[in-house]
Amino acid sequence: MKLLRSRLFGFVLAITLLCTGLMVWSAYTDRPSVLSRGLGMVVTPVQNVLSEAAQGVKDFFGYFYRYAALEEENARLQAEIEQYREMEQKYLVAINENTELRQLSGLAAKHRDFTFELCQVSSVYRGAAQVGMVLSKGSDSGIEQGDTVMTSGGLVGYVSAVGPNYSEVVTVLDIAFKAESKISRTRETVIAEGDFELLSDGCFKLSYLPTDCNIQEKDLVETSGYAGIYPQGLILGRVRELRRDASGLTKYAVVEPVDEITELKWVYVVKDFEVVE
Amino acid sequence: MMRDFTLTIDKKKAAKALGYLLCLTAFYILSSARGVLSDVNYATVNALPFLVAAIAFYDGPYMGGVMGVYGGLLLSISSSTVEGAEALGLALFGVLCGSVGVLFMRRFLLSILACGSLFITLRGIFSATYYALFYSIPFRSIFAGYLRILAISIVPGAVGYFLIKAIHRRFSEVEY
Repeated sequence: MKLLRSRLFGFVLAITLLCTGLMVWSAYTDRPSVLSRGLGMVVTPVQNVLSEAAQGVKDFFGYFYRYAALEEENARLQAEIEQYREMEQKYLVAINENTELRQLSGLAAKHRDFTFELCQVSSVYRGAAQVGMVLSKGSDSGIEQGDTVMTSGGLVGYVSAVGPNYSEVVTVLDIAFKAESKISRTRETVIAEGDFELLSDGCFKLSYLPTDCNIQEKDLVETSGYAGIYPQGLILGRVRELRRDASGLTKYAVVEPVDEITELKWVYVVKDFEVVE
Repeated sequence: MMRDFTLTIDKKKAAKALGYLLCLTAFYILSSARGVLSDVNYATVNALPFLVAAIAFYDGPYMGGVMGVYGGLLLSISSSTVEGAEALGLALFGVLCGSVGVLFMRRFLLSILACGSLFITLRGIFSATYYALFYSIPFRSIFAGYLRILAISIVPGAVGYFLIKAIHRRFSEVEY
């Protein structure tokens, strides 16, 4: 009884009630509380400035100690550009052919109207099983929870929480991430999800593939667009290799994202999109 | 005269608390801003438990608890953990350090590092158990991730300890 009446016990009880209240609020509303939003509003702009400054310093000194590597990278990129130019020609031919085939088969083409919001990546978080990021814009810019986050290359993740001037993002590498996807080449439907073992390699996986699946290395994986959660056809990544599960009954594919997720500086949030069948 | 003296003490306490808040905020921003300490050896530095332990050791369980709540709220901005969970853990840790820890340990660097390390280790055990139960991820793997976070957070934690000590000394002088 003496303990129950002590000042310290009252203090601990008050803290426990406050934090439990925050947890219940957060779980119930799926939104950050006023306290967290306030802190985020103050902290995020400072993070932006610091991130920019750190990048500036890194870039400046990079000229000195990475000169040889940059030269090598430049040569490699030049070669890649040439390769892509050739591929672009082939793609244009294929697109024209595809359009004609669609018209011939009488199917209506799918139209997508994206409303984009360009956001700076303020911070990146790498936990033991999480890879998240905080973006520089939030609900003031019309961003909502569940919005798709992407780059010109493909899907990055989704907005998990929104403050007035910041948004939290769960990336494709996070083990909480799961999305129904398709293999671009074969149109097979697969489940893409974050995986703890692959997280440190910057990869995620396609789970529960039958042992006779027709997936090959370098196959592109894209969003299926089912249920309207993600827009259709966003590239998730490229299959790096196929492995057998520990049980031996199924396979899984290791997929590397199109972009180096933790190195991104700018991303797009898709605030609105429309799929017309 | 007595009234003025009390006012001075209260102002110093408030300034000290503000100093602690700024210190926690600065450490959080430094560890989470892209390109600074957010990706050291595939992990993000987390020095806040060491700072909360230092505050609790120097200023007791109440200040430790309050700063624990604040630190936990900061951590929840960038992590996908349920808001309030980090705050509760860090606040209870601050209260325990300030009430029980000081009875058995001296107020010096090694005690703070031991307490901070204990917190991150326990957090790792809790988290690893959760992921093992709900995501079937091997316990050892997640726990190893937390040990990596601990390894890269010790040096910033030690720096944080000296800052907290300096703030405490600066604002704990009694004026006559």
